[in-house]
Amino acid sequence: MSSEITIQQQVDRFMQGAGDALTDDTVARLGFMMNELLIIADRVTRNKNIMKLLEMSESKDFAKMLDAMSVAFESYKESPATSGGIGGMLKVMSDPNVQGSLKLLGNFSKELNK
Amino acid sequence: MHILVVGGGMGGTILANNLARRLSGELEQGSSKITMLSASDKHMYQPGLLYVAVGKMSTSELYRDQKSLLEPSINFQVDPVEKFDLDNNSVTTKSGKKISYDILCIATGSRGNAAGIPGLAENACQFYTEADALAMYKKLQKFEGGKVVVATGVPHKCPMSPLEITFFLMDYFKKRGIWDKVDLHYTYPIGRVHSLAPVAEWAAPEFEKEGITYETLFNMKEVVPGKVISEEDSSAEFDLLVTVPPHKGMQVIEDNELGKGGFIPTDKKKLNMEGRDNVYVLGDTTNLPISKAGSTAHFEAEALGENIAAIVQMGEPVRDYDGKVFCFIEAGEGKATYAMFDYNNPPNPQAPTSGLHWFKTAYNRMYWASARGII
Amino acid sequence: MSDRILVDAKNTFCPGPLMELISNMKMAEVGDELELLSTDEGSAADIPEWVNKVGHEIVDSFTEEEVLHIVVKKIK
Repeated sequence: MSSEITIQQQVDRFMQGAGDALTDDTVARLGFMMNELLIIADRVTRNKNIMKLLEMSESKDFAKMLDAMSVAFESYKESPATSGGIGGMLKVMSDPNVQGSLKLLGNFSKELNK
Repeated sequence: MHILVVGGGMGGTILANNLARRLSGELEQGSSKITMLSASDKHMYQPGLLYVAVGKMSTSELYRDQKSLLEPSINFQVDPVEKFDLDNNSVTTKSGKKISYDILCIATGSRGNAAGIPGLAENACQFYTEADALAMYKKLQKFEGGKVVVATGVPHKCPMSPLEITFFLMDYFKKRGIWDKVDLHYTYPIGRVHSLAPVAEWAAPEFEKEGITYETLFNMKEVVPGKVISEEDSSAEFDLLVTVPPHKGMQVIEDNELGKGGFIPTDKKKLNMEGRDNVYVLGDTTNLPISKAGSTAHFEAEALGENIAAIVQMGEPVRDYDGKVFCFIEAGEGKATYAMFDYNNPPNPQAPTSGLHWFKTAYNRMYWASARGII
Repeated sequence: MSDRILVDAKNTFCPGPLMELISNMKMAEVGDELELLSTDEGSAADIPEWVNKVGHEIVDSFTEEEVLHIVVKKIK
């Protein structure tokens, strides 16, 4: 076999190989995927909210927030049930971390109402 | 500016989406509005019917929800127009609503009119509706051999379909192993096997190679059981008759006397209805002497979208429709070619290849992205 | 007598002048005259071939500024 082939011959062999390998069904499925990808890409790139979310996701705080949510949820699942009642509520409320969370929620609400 | 698009087929959908993208700012501010009225909540990919008729595509692949194809800013209603009052820039819908517009775009399409040929509906197969395509496939499955005749009415949409159905029938019979029991005979209305001379020059030798006989200058006049008779006093006997029926525009266009046969007189470059500056027509609905094809509607929609947006934004249109048409031609045995032309440039189709057949196969699934205005 | 029906098929490739004539003939009444305009070279032979085969009548035929005009009367 000569190792020197022209570009045209390379294209011809590629088409031959593709022809032997591809079936109508494969091409149809690829076409379908291409269609769906184009539609999704079009919607995402023209959706200001999703683009904003993508922009936010590039910040370190965003990753930290996701981690924090994940860890908090895990520890909540493993923690003992709260006792309930006013005594239980006072106990929880006196925790500085809980007070910090309420402050966070308060800030969130203040921003939403702006 | 209220732009009303009547018709949710290929032309209307691409036009509405094109306008919604170009006028997104105006739509958001509320200075412009786009409404689309259609008779159906579903959008059908009509070219798929040819494939359904020979068992190459399932009917579920033909449809998507019309709303899913439209930009959210378009006000879409399933409420077809019944009356056009062009002098007063308004339409009345089936539900009785009166809708006023500043610019009207009519893209109601065309339909097969088998009733125009006595005996056709009862004695022949067709493939221009889902029901007809399915019925044709079932009939084919029961067919064990004999004389198959293909006949074509004028005018019709999808100019390539007479050739394509013939090659697809050949493929189908070969796959079933009964090709040697079939006598396939093709007829065509003018003096060659296709309206495009280069396509006819390619197709006639292909027919001869495969043993497909043909008769030209054959315009269906009447069909009786087992025989189709032509205006030219010729006839062809058949065991199975497959037809492309003659077509008309939609009933609403005829009822409102907007154009003979349901086809509206239209300016070939500006695409406005003759005598009306704020009414545009596209796709099969025009009376233009060009192909009634999906690609025609597509390219017209792009030119019109650009023009109407320019009129809204700058007060003037910016381009003419150049007559561009691009039609694939499925040639059977996994190969296809295409014909591309416009008002000034004739077609120059090349020999069919499998690459082009794959392109068409992929496009059959990518049509939806095209309807959304992405490609 | 009604006005002549003009069928302007200049510079058309598909469906082409003869098919445009056939479509318009179908929508016309018996006795109507249709004037077809064509720039297609083959029309000079194609159109008369079909008209004669079907049994309509060619009323007039002339070329003006490279455009072929054929006037056909619907007989049946």
